[in-house]
Amino acid sequence: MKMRSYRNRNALLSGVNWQIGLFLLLIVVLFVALRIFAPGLLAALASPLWRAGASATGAVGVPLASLTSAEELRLQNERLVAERAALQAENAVLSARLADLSAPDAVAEGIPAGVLSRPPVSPYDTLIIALGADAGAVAGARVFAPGGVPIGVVESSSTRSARVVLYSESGRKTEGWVGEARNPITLTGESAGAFSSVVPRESAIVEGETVYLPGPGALPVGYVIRIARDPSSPEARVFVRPVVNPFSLTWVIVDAVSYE
Amino acid sequence: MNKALLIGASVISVFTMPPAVTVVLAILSSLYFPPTALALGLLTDALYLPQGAFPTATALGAAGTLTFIFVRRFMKTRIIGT
Repeated sequence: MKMRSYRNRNALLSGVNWQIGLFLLLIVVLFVALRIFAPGLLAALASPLWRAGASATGAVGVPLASLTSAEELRLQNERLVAERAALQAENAVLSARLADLSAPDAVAEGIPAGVLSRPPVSPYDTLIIALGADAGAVAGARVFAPGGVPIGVVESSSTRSARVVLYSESGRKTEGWVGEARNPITLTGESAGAFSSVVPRESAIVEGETVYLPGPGALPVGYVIRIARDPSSPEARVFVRPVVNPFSLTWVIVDAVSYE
Repeated sequence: MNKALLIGASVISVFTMPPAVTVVLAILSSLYFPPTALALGLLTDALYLPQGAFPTATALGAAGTLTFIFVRRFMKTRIIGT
């Protein structure tokens, strides 16, 4: 005799979904607990993977470069462009310091640190650096790119690594100046190293001027590339291109002093 | 075996690949096991999220997981129905 079942069947609450739900709850609890109680443990576990990723990125193309002269030229060109950018940044910093006649060696005393993870691999415009709190990467310490360009601050650190938030983090506000006249400006992070700012339409800012952040003297962080003016608006929008490309940072300098 | 490889590649991509690649891998692996999307979002935020920022990766992962649970349910129903 055929038995009829009158039990209501809910398609969303089957046995499989309960298992998935339990699994979800477990991973949420695990990651939240790790983030709150042992942030250093996650970074320590991830460090070998970050190092392997960085090594693999550096090694890609090398075997192919020996086969084709075009590839060799491309790699050489990339290297020269990176060197030129670093020298350009250094020149801008030195020019700014010369103009301000401020302490010239203040930044050079920082601690060099390798970059484990950088944009675009790390979202939110953060860097993971291989320098921990024990070595001087304390929360609030300023971080500079090669050449002495300020790029961000240490947000948190464990014993062997630290998380650096770039000034260009989306929505982050930073006070700075523009041009030789040092017009004050509030920079808003636009991600990937870029900034924007809203200024009065009659502002004296012109395209091509250098944008500075306060440090030991005025330190250049970018150049004004465009000013969007709307005749119906009393304000203009300034777009800033960074001096340093955060996508190509392989090492940084950490100022061992916390400003928090 | 292929499912495990795909999920493993998704996890490794969080450490080595740009987010766009991770998103593609997360979508593919979530077709087999929906919680992967949320797990990857949580892992991304646990590693990279600055304090005070909105956990975008977790939110996207949660949305992806819910979506793929429904997608799988719908696909099963369709397969049984035909």
